[in-house]
Amino acid sequence: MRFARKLCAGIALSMVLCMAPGAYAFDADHKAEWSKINILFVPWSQSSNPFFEAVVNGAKDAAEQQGVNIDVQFGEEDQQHQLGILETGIANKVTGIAVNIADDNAYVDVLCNAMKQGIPVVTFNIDDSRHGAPGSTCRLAFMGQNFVDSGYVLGKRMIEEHGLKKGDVVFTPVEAPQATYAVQRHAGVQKALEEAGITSEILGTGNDHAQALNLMTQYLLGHPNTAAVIGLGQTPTSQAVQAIKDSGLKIPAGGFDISKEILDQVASGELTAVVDQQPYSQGYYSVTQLALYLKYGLYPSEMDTGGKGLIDKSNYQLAQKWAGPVR
Amino acid sequence: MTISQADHIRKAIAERSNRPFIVKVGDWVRDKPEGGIAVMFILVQLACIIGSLLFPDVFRYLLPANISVVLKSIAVPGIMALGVGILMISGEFDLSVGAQYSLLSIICAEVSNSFMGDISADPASSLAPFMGMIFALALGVLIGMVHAFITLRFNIPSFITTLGGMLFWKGMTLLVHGSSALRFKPSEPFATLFGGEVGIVHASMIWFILFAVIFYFFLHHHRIGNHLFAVGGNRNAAVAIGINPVRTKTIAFALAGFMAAFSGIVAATRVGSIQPGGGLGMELQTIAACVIGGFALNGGRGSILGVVLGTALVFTIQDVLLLLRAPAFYFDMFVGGLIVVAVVMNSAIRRARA
Repeated sequence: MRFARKLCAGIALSMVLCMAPGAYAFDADHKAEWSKINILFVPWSQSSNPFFEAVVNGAKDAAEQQGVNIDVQFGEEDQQHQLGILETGIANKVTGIAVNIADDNAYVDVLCNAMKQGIPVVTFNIDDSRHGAPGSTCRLAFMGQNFVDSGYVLGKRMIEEHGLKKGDVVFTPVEAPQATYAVQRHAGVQKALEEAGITSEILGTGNDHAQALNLMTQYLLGHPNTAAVIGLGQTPTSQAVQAIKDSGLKIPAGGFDISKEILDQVASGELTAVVDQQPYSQGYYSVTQLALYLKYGLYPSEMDTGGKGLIDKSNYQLAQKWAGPVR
Repeated sequence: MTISQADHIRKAIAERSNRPFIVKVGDWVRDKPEGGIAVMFILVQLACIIGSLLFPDVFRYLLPANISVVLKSIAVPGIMALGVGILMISGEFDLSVGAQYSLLSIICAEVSNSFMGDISADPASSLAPFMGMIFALALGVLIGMVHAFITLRFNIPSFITTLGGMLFWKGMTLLVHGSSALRFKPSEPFATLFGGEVGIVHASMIWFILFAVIFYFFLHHHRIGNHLFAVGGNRNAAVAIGINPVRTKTIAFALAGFMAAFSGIVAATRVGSIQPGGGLGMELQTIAACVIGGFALNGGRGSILGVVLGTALVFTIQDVLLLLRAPAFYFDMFVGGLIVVAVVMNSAIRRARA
């Protein structure tokens, strides 16, 4: 039996060793051909959004590993601007497109036209809420987190850990309440809260930390019966603990997205738990899957990055180590 | 001047000095650009104080924590608005102050952190944050001077120059630091000087008051202040009486850059981190605060008291709405509506007195 195991291990090792140089030679044979692959990578966000630093890092790493070119252009949270980038890219015959769908209707014509012309499209971070159903935005696959599911998990965790009860009100601040991510995250959190008879209220905070802190503190002063704070984005989550302190309340807080500051507060227990949607994976797998499709015809698969896992005091260490460039 | 004319003027001055107090106040409200808004501000404060005394559990306006946060929310945009206001009086705009706010606070933090200015550094340098601040403030002045040079040398509207500047400095912020948030927890005594508190008054408010007093004397009791009003009101007339409009406007642009940098550094010291996209939108907030305070959009009219009252009123409105539990989801709608109402009432009060 022991011999059989050793034999199997030896065969497996030999196969890996034999295949590795073969794979390298295979890549080298097609290097020139694949270097003509140009992927247009278009996040919807503003270029200053720190979340997308890790997304873009993942996309660039994947492009380098696959030996393809990538052109990163930010939509600056302006659909007209983003559509202009996409139309220019299609006119210039890019080989593939990875994009965020911030509106269910705005991108249908442009991206379906791209697919008709043979330009494959994948979405990351934000998808058409109809997820590829007939009549929805044309794309091969989506790589990102299911905001509703993760919001639900976070809501349940806050209810169970802090004993939130029927009649309580939870404060859910977010940078841009109208954005798809805000709507879907709130829907998930609200679903969990509603099951327990709890209500929530949204407040738009903007991206500036100081202004967000002022607004959140003023809200809490005006609503001293608030039972908990769940930040639906990185800015409000990072300021939740300070806002609670400044308003003189003692209530729990949790939220979405991570940064060094947020992870410090998770480590100290001031933030109960945060949702990490693993931005690096979104960039990495969307470019990798597009490259594999363009090279070998491997069809892109749907991928739920981040799943339903939360970061809390028990598992924050690795996230803290890689916060920023990867997480 | 004949003797009879001199007597006539002396008589008029004596009559003006002997006006009853209520008439003097009325004339001040009518004559000063900030007159109407001062009346509104006092009325709003009286209503808030009475409301808070009558319903202390529901409307917690006088709670020390609330007063503290209102002062904090006024101070940072107020500091920026002082520079923006001076520039508006000279007849120019700077739409890039929000982008400068982010860029220059990040540069201050980068310089400070790289010279061991972080409070957790071992050993922490007490001078490094000041070095970072001086560097950032100097850059703010330089950026303002560049905007002035482009605007005045090529005779293009400052609206366009600084609109380009806004995008340029926003991009520069990403080039300098990337898009991730930057930690800024400076060592002492910097942290206390710019982020400490005296009772419920945050250091940022003390700096705002200090700058407001300095700018008051600069604008209303100094030769350059008169020059600013002159070039903003009628440039040709100002040139005719020997005022150098290029020099005067360059000073105004430089002050706007300096104050944008200072407000960014104070805000960063308070929250301990800087968001590269933060500050965008503040250029319009500060212009709105100045207009509410009685500034003319085409220059030549405005006052430091107007900047202070305009900023205070905008952020008092924001605070009151949140305390009164206005629906938070579309709360901006109320703030926007009330800002317009404030300007309309300012004009109405001044017209009613005319």
